[in-house]
Amino acid sequence: MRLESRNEISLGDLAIAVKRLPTQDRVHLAKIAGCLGFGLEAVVPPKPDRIGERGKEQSLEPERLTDISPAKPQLMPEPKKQRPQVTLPKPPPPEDGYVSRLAPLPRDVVTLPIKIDQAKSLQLDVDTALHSNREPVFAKREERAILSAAVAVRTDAGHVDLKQVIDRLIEQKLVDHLPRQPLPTLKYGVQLLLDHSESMTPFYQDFQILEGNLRKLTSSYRYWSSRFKGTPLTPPRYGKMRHPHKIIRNVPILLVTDFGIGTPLLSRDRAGGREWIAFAKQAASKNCPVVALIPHKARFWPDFARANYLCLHWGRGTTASDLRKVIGIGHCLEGN
Amino acid sequence: MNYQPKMFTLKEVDTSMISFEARESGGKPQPYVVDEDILIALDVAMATRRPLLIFGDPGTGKSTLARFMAETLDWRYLTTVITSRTRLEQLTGDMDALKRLHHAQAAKVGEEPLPDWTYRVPGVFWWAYNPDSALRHGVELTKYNNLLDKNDTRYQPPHNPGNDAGETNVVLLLDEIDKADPDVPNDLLEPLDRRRFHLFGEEIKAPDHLEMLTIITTNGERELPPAFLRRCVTLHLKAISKDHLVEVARHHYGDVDQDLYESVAIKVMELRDQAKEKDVRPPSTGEFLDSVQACKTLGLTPKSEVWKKVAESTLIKHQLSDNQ
Repeated sequence: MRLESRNEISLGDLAIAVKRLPTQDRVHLAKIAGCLGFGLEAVVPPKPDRIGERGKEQSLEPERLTDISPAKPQLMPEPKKQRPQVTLPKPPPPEDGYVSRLAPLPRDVVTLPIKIDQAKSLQLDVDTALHSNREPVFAKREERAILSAAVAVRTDAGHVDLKQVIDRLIEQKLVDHLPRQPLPTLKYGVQLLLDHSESMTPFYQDFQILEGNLRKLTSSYRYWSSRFKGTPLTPPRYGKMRHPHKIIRNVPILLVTDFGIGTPLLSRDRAGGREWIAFAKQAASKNCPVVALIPHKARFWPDFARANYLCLHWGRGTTASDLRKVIGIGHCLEGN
Repeated sequence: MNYQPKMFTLKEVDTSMISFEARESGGKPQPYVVDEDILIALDVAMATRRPLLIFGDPGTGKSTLARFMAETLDWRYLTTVITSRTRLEQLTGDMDALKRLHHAQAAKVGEEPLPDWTYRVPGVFWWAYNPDSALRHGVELTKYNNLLDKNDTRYQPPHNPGNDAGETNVVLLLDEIDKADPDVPNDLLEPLDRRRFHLFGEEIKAPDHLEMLTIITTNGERELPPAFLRRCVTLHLKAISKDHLVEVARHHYGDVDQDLYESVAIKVMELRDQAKEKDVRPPSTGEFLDSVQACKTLGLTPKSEVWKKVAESTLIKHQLSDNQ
């Protein structure tokens, strides 16, 4: 039996067990299934009796303590657990009884419908989005690890690298500094650049979840978020922002875009490969590593994106280890 | 018990032939009382080639089961006890940097240092999956033989815990996994799951024909990661009962002193109840066997006057007596 692609126990294991352990006894079959976690019993048994009893009957704990430890002098009387009865004076009834009255509205309050262009953009509050039932695009248990791996920077601040020290000693070289093991850090923060082109509309709510999670992961001080259409260098044509995102030196960039894969050819939001390459060069000149999250699978990625960006599929199948295989323990920043 | 194991055959153990000394020297197989649940779990673990994760109170025979299976199957037996300081490298393979430093400091002028690979220390997984490679520290046979030809006294070949049985099937016991650092069970997923791991830039893997039974024990002191649990076949060993103890004694010493077994078992159960009340470690099956052995050898019973001393030295061990 080859074991190249084993994973968690599945129905396949049950099938193998039943095939290799032929039995007609229903009890035995149930026990075989139970061993593999398909029974009705919890995989992890309850705590041992001792602890179970303690948990079940909390009054056992002080009883045990009184058995072992010497009696302590009682300094203070035990406070009563019952709340004291407080009688509040009843408010005097209003002269004209409990009747609501309509007050006239002030003159400056307008109740007319607002115009479309004055309306706020259709946005959910970040917290609302986070607390909604919408699942994050990455697998829930992987998301934090993926985001950490994507924006972590490698520093030489880990434990002393004993192996390197010994290597130098054996080679009779002077140990003029203590070599240290690499350690990833998030202290450099992150620049999150979100593509608000037409083709990314289905992901707007996911953007908000991503923003919330990234803000939690880094800190508010080292978190910059910006939206763009086309490329991050394209000047915004509408909205309050008049200037493209200014790249902050030495801060990793997380770019969420489809590189125009889903944008119509004649759309104003569409940017060409040349613009994207220009952005990659500018980010590199500012010593900012860029990780591009693309909602489409790798086979759709344009060549210029593969060549100039560290691309990652923004989807369920992506794991932190995939990313670590490419980045390693963290991005290397020049001069760090 | 009407379940007959399909993946292995239980050996008939002639208990009358087993003396205490013979058991201790490992000359004879050690009896173990197996019930249907244990047999089914072992069968399932072997059929699916998954690790068997055993839960149970201390002293219920979790670790002994691994040794029993190694003797029953006549496979190599490798064991390691996990502690809070255990790291994956210790289980797969590590580098003895301090030994290297010591050799460098003690070297005479102009003396050629030993090759770096001689400082590789194979871990239990390496010995399990590829003992030949572990013995050679992962280098080619010619390279290794060249070193041996030099007769360098500084080099000591690694000790093979599998008793030089070669690349035969193996029972591997990882004892007390719940004591490990929370990362260790997750780190073990690849070596356990795929039967391979990467070390010193090379892949160490078990050959396809290698049969292996991995037994992992836990007292449940710390919760194990779900991903780890979902890869294991599980077995919950029941708490010790009087009848079980008598059965164990019967398997170890034969049917001759049934009354003695019962009376000692009753005392052990009483002490276990007291231990639970006092929140101290209760006497285990092994300690019960020790007290039975003591009674048999010294001609004592729990009714005799000396019994209290025997119980104190074999069962209580000053845990209960201090509080009594």
